[in-house]
Amino acid sequence: MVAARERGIGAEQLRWIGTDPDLFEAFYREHVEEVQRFVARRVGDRERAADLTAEIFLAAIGSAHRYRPRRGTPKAWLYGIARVLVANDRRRQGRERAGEEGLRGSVPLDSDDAARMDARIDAAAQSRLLYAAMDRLPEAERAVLELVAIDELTVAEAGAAVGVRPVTARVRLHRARRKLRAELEAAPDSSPSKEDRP
Amino acid sequence: MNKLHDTDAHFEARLLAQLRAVVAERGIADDARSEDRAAVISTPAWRRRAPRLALSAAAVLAAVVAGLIGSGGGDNTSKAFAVEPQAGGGVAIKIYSLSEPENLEKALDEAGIPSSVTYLPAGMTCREPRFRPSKEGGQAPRGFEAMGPGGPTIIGIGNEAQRREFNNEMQKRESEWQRGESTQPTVAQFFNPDRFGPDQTLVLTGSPLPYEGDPTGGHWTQVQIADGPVGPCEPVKGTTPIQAEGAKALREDERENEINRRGG
Repeated sequence: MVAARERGIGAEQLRWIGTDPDLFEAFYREHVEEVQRFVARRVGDRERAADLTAEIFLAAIGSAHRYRPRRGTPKAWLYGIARVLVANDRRRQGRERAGEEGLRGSVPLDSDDAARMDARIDAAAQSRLLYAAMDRLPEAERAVLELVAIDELTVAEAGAAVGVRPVTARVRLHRARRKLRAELEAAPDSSPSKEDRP
Repeated sequence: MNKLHDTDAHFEARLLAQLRAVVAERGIADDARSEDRAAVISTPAWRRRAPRLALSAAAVLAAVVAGLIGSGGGDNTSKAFAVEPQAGGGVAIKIYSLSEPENLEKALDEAGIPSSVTYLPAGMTCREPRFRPSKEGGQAPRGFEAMGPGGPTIIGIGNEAQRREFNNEMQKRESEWQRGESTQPTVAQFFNPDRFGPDQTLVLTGSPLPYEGDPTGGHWTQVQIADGPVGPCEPVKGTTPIQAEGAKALREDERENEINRRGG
């Protein structure tokens, strides 16, 4: 397990993280920072960000046994999960969330956590502006652009995260950029209005 | 990675403790698999497997090859392609559009590369087989396929040292494109004339990749090495798997755009 912690969880071991606490811990340590940054780039509220972080890892635990290496690296797989959960959260945002009981409810944020989360969220403000500007792109193109431009995945990783081949991801990335550029040039004064409240 | 040890009171560490408990509970219920798991863990299988296609697809190809780029003083001016001599020998050939195949063959010949260049309409390919693909040097049966909207296809020709420089330059360009710092994706190939046998030919095939109805929006190219003679191209309908994938992506996007147009 020491090796797993030092070298990261490989594709062959990922399927066991849902049942082996040590393997899970190695996986968690490897990815928790990037998951938190992923969430902070999209969500401006620290409580929601904390909930989503917990939900993403819970979903990973629940679905790890279905992971297949040929469909992408563990990182791409985790980003795929994160993307779906954050998108779901955006959809249900504004709805009544009463009755939902997430794991994070039992992991309250103290003042120090809150300050660190706020710092992460503040640092991601620019990314959230860009994210909001991409709202009008077709979902398929936006997804790839987000993962490459905001989350710094490679084109191949982004493709795996959204379930398409690298060459498809490449075409979509190019198209998304072209449209976004055209849109920003057409409306230079427009500012994103959907930004989350910090 | 070890930061959590220093910040045990933090959210991340407390969340980890909770999640470990969840996993442990699932593990107890899943004990039957423990022997299989032990077997897997003892296997030295740490190598991360890249997606298979990534090794052959255009997206990664650009990061693998190419950088004789940047030296000025091209001696061959054409709107279709440019041949740029490089310091220390070798040339960089940039294909901007799929025309003037004979001139490109001539330029390649002058660079020491016997070639057969064929440009086809979209959705067409040459009837196979028309030559014997070389298997030397890890050459894939289908050669290298490159596809991208907008950017030039770059063929570098030079020695091994130049290949390294070319690779670095192309990796830099690919990174810049992925970061959105340059507007045109670039795909590239590199060939060392010394590696060509006397009976080998570089076979370059290309076809347009219509981009939102604009036939000049991009192109697909395939570069293969032939052992022995190369027969003439008899155009037939058909695509390679990579072309088909690209065409499918374009169709899907166009359909989606149409839906958006109607909806919006």
